Parts: sequence; structure tokens; C-alpha cells
Amino acid sequence: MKIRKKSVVFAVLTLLIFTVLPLYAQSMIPQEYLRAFSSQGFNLADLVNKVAFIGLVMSILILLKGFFEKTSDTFLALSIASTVFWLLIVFFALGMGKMENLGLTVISSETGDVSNTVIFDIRLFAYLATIIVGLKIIHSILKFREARLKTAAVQPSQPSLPTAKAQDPKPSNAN
Amino acid sequence: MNRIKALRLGIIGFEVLTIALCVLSVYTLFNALSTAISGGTMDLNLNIDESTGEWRFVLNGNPRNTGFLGVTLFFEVAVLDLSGQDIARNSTSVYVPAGGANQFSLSLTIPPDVAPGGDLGEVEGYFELRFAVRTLGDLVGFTNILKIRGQAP
Repeated sequence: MKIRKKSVVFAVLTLLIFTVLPLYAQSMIPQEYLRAFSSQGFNLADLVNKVAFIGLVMSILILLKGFFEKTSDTFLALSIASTVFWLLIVFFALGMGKMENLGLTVISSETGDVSNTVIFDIRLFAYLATIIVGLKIIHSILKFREARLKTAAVQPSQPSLPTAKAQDPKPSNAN
Repeated sequence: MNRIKALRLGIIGFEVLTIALCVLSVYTLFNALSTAISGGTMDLNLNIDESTGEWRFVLNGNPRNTGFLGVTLFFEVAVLDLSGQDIARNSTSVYVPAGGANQFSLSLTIPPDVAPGGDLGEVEGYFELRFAVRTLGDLVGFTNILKIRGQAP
């Protein structure tokens, strides 16, 4: 089975940027800082692990795409899956580490008699990203159909069915 | 140009526009937070009307906006009892255009029976301050709600 070199390069780069680098950077941060972040309700280790997981899944999808021809159904399915996965990454970034927020993040803290609530509302960009992903999926389908049509046009025409004459056995000499 | 190429270009354009709007609006929001409500632009007063015994909380502001987009600033102050019911509440909003400034004034009258002893610091209840900045046609925003509980000594 052949694999496209471009896919391998992109998969390795994605793995390096989203998985290896964040995990390495996390290991370099002193434990006191991690504990300080944690005490403020911000779990940095959890965030880094989520980013690393996203990177791993993304690189697997890119690598898998490299195995299949652009005209195969599997390639189309993987293209759509990776596009949807990108949307999840956008939701993850807009929700400050929580995809389910969909761009509406509420951070609350309470100290003694004082409570403070901060709300970030960037749902507009979550909606715009969803529209973009929808358009990208349509683009993938159209491109797939075009690739199929081109392949069908390039392939030699099917050999014609044998005619009745050709099928006829040689006439036997009756005499 | 076939329709697939046109769609691809359209998607790229849409992506660039979305990223640009995201950067501009987030920059404007944080800019508004750091400059619009900086020390020199706000004036807070709390006075008592000797004749009626009412407390009067007045917030005057002249926020500036050095961001690239216009912002709407929203201010709300409220005094609540311990069960969360409003004793007094008032709000105002002001639009500040990009590169400009605008004035606003917000006042809150607190009835005298809330602090019979004449000291608001001894009132049991909550003081709530809500501040919001919205931009991009009020579609993107940041809100901060500060709630302080007052307790009798």
C-alpha cells in the first residue's frame, strides 16, 4: 500500500506542534506554577493533555488520508472527518479549553464576601466557523465528484460485449 | 473559473474575514477594558441627602475608545437584600465610536431605611456592579459582575 509523502510530512508536523511540543513545554514548567494555576481554577495540565490528544487524532487523520486515492469514498469520509475535527478544535479554542461552551465562557471566583464573574461571549465566531466547515464539506464533496468524473473520462472505455457473431463457434463442416 | 475553484476562493475569503474580525473585536474589547475604564475616565461619588436621608451613588464617566471598532459600554449598579431581592437598581449604556469618547452618568438612589444607622457599610445585603463591553454590532462581548456582600459588624 502506497502513502503520499506530503501526508506523512503534515502528520509529523501536526504531531510535533500539537502533541510533542505542548507536552515537552509542560514538563519544563516548574511544579509550583502548575499548583498556582490549579489553585486559581485553571488546570493547565488538563488543557495541555487535551491539546496533545487533539494533535494525535489530527495527525492520525492526516496520515490515514495519505493511504487512499482522492477518488475513494474513504478519502472523502476522512476529509469530512478532519474538517469536522477542525471545527472541534475551534470550539476548544473559543471555549478556552471547553468545547461544550461554544464560545460562551463563564469564569467565576469567590474570595470571602466578594464574588466575581467574568463572561466572554464570542459565540459569533463559533457560528461563523460552523458555516465555514459546512462550506468546506460541500467543497470536499464537489472536489471528490470532479475527481471521480476525471478518472472516469481518463480510463479507457470498457471492452464491448462480445457480439453474437463472435460468440458463434466456428461453423463445423457438416460434410 | 469553475464553481469548485470559486467556492474554494470564497471559503478562503470567508476564513480571512472571520479571523480578521476575531482579532479586531478581541483587540477592541481588551483595549476598551484597559483604556475606557482607566482611572482618569471615571468618577465615583457616594453622598447622603441630609434632608431626605437618601444615599446617592453617582458614577460619571468619559470613556475613550482607542480600538478599531465602536464599542457599547454597559454599567449597572444594584443594592440587593440578603434574599437577592432588589432594593435599588439602575443601569445605563453608552456607545463610544472607534477613536472617540463619550460621556455617561449613572445614579442610584438608596432609600434611607436600608441603612437606619446611617452607615452603608453596616447594611446586610449585596452591592452588585455589572460592567459589559460589546463590539461588532453588540455580537461580541465581555461582561464582569462584581458582587460584594455587606455584613453587620
